[in-house]
Amino acid sequence: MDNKKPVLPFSPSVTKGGFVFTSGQVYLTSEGKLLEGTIQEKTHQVMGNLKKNLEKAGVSFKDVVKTTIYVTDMSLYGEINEVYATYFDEPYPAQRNGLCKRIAPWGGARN
Amino acid sequence: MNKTKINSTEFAERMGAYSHGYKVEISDTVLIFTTGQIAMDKTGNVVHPDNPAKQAKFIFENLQKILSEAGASLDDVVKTTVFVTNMDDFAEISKVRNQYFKNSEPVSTLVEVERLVKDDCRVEIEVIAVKQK
Repeated sequence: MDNKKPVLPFSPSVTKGGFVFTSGQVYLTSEGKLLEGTIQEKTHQVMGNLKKNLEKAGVSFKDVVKTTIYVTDMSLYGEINEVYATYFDEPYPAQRNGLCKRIAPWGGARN
Repeated sequence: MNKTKINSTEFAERMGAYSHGYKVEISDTVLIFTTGQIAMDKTGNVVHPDNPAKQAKFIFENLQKILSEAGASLDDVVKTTVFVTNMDDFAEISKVRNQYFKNSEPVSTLVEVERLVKDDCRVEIEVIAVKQK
């Protein structure tokens, strides 16, 4: 999967001035398909994609200071957040969540 | 550390307590954050209501102006978030986006939302840029 080129001019992560920025991730698998499964499994896939991108940049979830979660159905937010929280230790990063209708399926996960 | 607000009469009049951009200097690193830009002219009118690609071009020109006030350019963008009111518009918007981000290839997030702050706005774009002094 590492040799797959992004379909758009964007990068999975960019490091500049000592900061690492990541693209928004969806539950795209290494085969480039959207994962079928529960919301918990989908959240794990998203977090796994982020983990890989952070590791490639030489950092980890311990270094994260700010996240944004976009959901298409706010009623799932609690379940998503439970999985999300398992990837972080206190103090948790600043987080903002937004409700949106649709999320781009390519999401930047094709690293 | 120095923090400087970026505001100019070149841009649409502000609608609340925010700045068009914010420059943060930490030793020899400069971070620039922008407010989400929409296709609104100086008098507050939405331009090109029927053309998301032209709205995107208008927005990128404004983002360029904000960044240039901070001594940076679109080539310094590391992170962008694009909000669209119809994901089907993205094919057209993408062509414009790709021209302006040809050199920076920033990390990107794209979401579709029900409404933007002004009706007839089809796209909103915010960026974070980083530059070494």
